[in-house]
Amino acid sequence: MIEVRDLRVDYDSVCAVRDLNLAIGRGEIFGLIGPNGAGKTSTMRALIGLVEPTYGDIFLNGVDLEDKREEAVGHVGFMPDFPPVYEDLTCREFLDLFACSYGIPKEHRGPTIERYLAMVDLTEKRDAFTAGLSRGMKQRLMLAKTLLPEPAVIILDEPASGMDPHGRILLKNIMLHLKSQDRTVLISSHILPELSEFCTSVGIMERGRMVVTGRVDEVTASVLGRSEMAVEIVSGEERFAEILAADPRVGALSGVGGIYSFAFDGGREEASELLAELVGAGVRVASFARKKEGLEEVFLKVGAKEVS
Amino acid sequence: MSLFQEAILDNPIVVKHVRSRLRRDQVVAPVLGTVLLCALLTSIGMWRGVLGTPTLFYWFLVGQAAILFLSGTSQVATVVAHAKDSGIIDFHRISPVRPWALLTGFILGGAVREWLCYACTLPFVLLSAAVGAVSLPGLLMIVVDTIAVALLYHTMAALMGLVSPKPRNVAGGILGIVFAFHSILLSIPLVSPISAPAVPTILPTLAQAMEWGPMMPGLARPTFFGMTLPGFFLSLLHQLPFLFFAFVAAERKMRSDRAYLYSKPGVLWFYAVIAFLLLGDAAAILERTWGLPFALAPVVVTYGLAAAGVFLITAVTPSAGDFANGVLRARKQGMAAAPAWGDLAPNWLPAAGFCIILLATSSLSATLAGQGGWSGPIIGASFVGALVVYYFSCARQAFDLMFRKNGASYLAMLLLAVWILPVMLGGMGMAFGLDRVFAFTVMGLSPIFGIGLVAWSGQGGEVIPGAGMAVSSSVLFSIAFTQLRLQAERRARDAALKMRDV
Repeated sequence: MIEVRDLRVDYDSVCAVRDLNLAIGRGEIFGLIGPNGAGKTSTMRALIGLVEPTYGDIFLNGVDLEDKREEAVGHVGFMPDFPPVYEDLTCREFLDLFACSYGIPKEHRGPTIERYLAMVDLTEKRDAFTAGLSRGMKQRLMLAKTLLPEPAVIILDEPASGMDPHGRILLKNIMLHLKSQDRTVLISSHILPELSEFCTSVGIMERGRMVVTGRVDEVTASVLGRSEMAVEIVSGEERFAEILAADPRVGALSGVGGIYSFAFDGGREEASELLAELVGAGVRVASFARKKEGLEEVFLKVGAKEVS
Repeated sequence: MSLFQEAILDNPIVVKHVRSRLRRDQVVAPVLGTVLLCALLTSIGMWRGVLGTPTLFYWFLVGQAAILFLSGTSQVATVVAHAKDSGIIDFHRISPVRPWALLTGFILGGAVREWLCYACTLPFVLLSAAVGAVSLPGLLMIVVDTIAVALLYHTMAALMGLVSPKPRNVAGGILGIVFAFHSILLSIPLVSPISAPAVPTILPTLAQAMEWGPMMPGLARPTFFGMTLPGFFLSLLHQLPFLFFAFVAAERKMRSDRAYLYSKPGVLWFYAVIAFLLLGDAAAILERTWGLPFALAPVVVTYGLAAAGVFLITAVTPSAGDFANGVLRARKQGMAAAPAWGDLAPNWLPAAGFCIILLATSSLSATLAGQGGWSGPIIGASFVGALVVYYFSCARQAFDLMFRKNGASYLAMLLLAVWILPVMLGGMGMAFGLDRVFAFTVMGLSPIFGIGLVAWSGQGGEVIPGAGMAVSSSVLFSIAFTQLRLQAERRARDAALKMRDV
């Protein structure tokens, strides 16, 4: 897990991160959103010890970064937005370099490297020099390098930039896989719909401050006032419409053919109550979920307008 | 894991460079070229009957120097600068590999092809030694010292790669330094009887191994603290401390890009070691050469340590940004100011330490000299030297805080005006027949001339014009720059605290 207390980062006369507090638990995928210059990269670089904070405490997987730097960063995998690689090495040699750096025993390195090459779909490029890879492939190779030591905490700075649609689907699947493994992921991206697909929680930074933070649905609800629910009904549509019409938290209902959406003013508890009521009233519900596409709106409403 | 394993065998950076720089297509040509060249030289030696003479042996040494000192140094600088420029060094920084092991990996791995080529020359050199060019112990000393000097240059190259703001030019820069270093230090004993400046080079070892006694008595019997020591020992005595402190600085930069070259205690240790070496060499510089009295040794020590102090204080002077960070961190932790020994504290503590070491060393050298000793003018010269280091450190800190990134440029302009121009103007004035008293007074403004003037003023009871100017200007500058530093610190502290609250 990641825990940050009162983090401040200054560069000369510029305050990049201002009194930031953050806690990201196991199995959580935290999306860090903000315009250029908001302090996202500075936060990430401080978290991995590449930038010395002016003050503040950082704990990675429970280890204090300041007191036990080597142990703390040993738990972390980091991927920057632009992937630097040794261009005179092949993909396999490049991964082997970092497998060696992270102390993976010699006899395990080969199978581990093959597994991660397959995960990022670069098996065929195993013996190709990295100089010949496209930017998207280099991003994928870097992702493999980041995951190779199986870190408990993974920090990804704009990992999807430069990736083609195939790479982005791979990234999404890998994120979901990491979530299932209870790993802690901090990811920044300007592609907000993508973040909403796999992030469990988000934080919006602006001018070095964390403006809003929380679970995606909670943030959406708190910023936009009400969130959008999507429901698929198998039968009992009339009863469904009656219940919704009687509920003051529910806004206008739209949709046909058993697939509906409506505005809902409530958090997880309220949503679960509504679902229970529907099921209890004999409405057969095939799916009941909060739409997560609201991040762009949230971001714009919070005031950050510089999405590039 | 043992240190040897961590440093070499299991060092990922070494393994990386062994892979990338020793691929068949990259290694065959240089290795084959080296072997063929050595074979050709050996054949010529055998054909002309000079295989067992020093002449042919020197050609082997020149080749080895070209491989390790030039090509190897350039490679290490390029490899480190590229890793920094591309940003891949950050991945190594956050890996569990310790910074010293990373640095060792770059130093040894960056020049791995050059080390291989060097190894290819050794059988030929051994053959030349076996037939009488040099004794086997002599050859061993040369090999050890060659490796020590190569490691020193490679470490300096790695350091330059890590600190250079323009990584693409770093290889040229370090080669320029190595070339200048060799040209100056090696040429002095070759064209004059002064041998001491050559001790950090391989020359004293060569003089011992090749028995140059009749040709260069100074190099054949070099002294340290007045004792005659083997040249090999003396060379290592000078090279290894510089290798160590270059490694320490590079290790700190490897750990963090924003780190200063030395910690404040570390820079004082480095300064003390320089003082020790200078003290030991001062006698040799003066005694063996111009027949000058050894009492002038304190002056040589003062000049040397003042120059070293001015150079080293810049390595521990915090920038305006870091000073502000120190203020904010201290406030957060409930302290009035950043800890004085910390990297973010102002540089007054190492500056004070430098002054104490300078005065103590100069005093010690006067005592050791025993001729004239710690007399008034020598004391004066030493104090001027100490004040120069002090006011420079104050000026450096104040200018950095006031003008931020332009501070160093403005300070350089100021120093040009008060250190260089007076010497030039006074010298030109004298050349054009200006009054000697006036010219010396102008030149005394600069410590470059002033320290010598103060020391000279006591010789034979003669009053030297300009000595008073040297003393008074250094006192005046010390007071002025102390005030400036205090004011700049106060303003920077207030600005930092104001920024925190915005």
